[in-house]
Amino acid sequence: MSDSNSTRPVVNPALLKEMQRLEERFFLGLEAKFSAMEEALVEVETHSNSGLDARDGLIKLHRLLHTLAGSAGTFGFSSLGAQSHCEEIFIKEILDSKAITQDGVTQIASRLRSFLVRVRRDPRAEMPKLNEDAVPQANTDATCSLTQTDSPLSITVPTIHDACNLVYLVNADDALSKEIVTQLNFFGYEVQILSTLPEFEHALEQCSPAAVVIDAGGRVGASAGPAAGVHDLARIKQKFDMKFPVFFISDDPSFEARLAAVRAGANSYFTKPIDVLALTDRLDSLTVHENKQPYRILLMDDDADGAEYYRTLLCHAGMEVRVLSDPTKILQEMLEFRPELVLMDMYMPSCSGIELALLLRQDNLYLDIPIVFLSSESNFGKQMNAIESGGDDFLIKPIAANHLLSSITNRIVRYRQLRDLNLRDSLTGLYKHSSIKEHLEREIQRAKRNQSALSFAMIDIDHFKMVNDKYGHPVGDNVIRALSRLLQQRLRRTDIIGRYGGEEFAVIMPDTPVDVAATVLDSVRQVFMQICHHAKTEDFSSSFSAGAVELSSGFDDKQMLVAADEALYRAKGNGRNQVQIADLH
Amino acid sequence: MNMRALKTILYVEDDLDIQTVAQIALEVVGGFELKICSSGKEALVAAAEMVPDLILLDVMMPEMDGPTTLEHLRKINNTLNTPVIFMTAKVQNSEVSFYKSLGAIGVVGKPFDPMTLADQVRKLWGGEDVGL
Repeated sequence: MSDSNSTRPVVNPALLKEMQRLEERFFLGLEAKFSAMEEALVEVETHSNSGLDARDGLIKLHRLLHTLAGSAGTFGFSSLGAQSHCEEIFIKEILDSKAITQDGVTQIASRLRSFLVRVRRDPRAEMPKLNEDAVPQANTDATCSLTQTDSPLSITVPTIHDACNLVYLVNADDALSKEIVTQLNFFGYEVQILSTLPEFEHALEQCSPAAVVIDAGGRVGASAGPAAGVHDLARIKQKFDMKFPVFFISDDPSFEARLAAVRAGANSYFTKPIDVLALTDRLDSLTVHENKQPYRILLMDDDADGAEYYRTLLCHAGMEVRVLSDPTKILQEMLEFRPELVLMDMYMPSCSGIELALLLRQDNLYLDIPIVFLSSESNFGKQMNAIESGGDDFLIKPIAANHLLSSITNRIVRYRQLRDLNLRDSLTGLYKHSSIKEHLEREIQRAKRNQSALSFAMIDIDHFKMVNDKYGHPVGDNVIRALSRLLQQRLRRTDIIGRYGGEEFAVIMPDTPVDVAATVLDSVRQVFMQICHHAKTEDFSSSFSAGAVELSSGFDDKQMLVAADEALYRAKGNGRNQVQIADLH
Repeated sequence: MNMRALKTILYVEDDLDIQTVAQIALEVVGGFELKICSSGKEALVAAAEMVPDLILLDVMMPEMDGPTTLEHLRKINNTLNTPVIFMTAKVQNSEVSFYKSLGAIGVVGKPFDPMTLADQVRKLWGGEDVGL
């Protein structure tokens, strides 16, 4: 692309607005595109499983990906476009090969499901980071170059797996492999099947996974038995300096076998029959990296220069800072920006810092937010006053940068921990009843102000009492956890998910019309149905019903709750296992 | 090299999202007159009734793809020699030369920037070898 192309003409605002509208429309249409891909994939799988030609389905899938690869960037989703291009090329290679094997289809399915989970969660997210050592040297045409993705003419593509959700499965028999692959796919993991430890060793040279699952029950190494391959594994572990978790699965529940696994460096040990959901759970807890949002800090200071200095300092430390010079705007700012710490000067034009702290503390919402004074006030009595008014700390200007950063960081870390404890459900880690209601209220206000769409849905697991009665509460808890994890994986990062009661969940979807919300929930429903839950006596599957409603003018949170509940009730009445949209007459 | 001003474009693209953006990019930003077709077949019908200055043709479309559409357009009087620009998400140099061998004056890569698309088209029209 020549340089002259990069100069953008002066843009008129109406045009920009129109572009924004189109971008929004494109964004809202994404789910339909993802669903179409999923449908095409299912067609490919069905054909392939029954020995039919999967080519037509693959061509369709390829075209869908190709179209998205070409359009996403134009609408500001360049990473999504690049990732689609990646998947497109992978499928093209298989299409170009002489025969479409079942293995090829499995690989495509695994990659594509993982791609879909990723982009559904956050279509603007960056492409997963690649393991640099693993970038193939040859085949430069297909090598990924992340830095170039913004230049439309030079999109090139990675053909290797991203390590963040890749799981190696070693030595499992076919039936078990199939089950593990299917279930892990549902939760966004991509599984690569390797039949022997040497193959595993070879794969490690290409790419380091998020975890490895090794079946120690059979043929690992030369001799049979649980201790088999232990020596090899220990050597491999040392050679590659393996930092990812190792899971053993085995027929042998004995102490000796477990000890051998420990000695081989296993982090987890599962006996057959394998409870794949429990395995996923464990995998999640060991591999999921919490997405650390930057700390949000509200800086109250009427001195613009001083504020700028501290703002720069905190921003450089990776924090998100908003500066406010007018104290009367603080309540609005608290609601919109939702700071996790307020850093304020003692003396400001219309009121003092002490008054402002007292004012904030009057509101239950802000009882626990850290308030730190930053001032040149050296009078100890006045400092004490500030603390008594509800301030958490008093820092004296000028302050050493690292001192400021560490005291702010400590307070926010603690604040986040306490918040999570108070606001989140212990079984699922989702928001509790009370806080989901608070969120709904806030999102309604925001949607009304921005005149944007907002959807809310209630979800209830079908026949849950029967599950509890038949299989016991621990099994029921697992079903709840599975749905909670699926919702977290499948919904966007901007969606807010809560556990509303026993087997009831609530979902808030900002900027989303209700038909889109229903489509998304329905795709979650279809996946949830396929998840296999494990009880002592048998395996079973479960389903849910949901009712969704869109915010309309004059609605408040209570009316939305009632409307969603009515729709849910209708879904139950219509035979369960479905999503209904509230009928607002 | 084209010295004449570029005015009417026959634009063929099956993706409706892209159509809308390209329409803004070419009509509002670029000031061209656009005849939009959603398939190769539509384009053949349109070509019987208009004499475009330029044809802008998406490569990958269901049923009749870009190159095939071009082949048919070349049998219609109105578009016997009309300059053609291909649009495609795959832009490797080998492919660009392939499209040029079909008689295209250039290739626009997708995704394109709606603010500079018109400019890019105008430069290809004027004979500049942009994008390569």
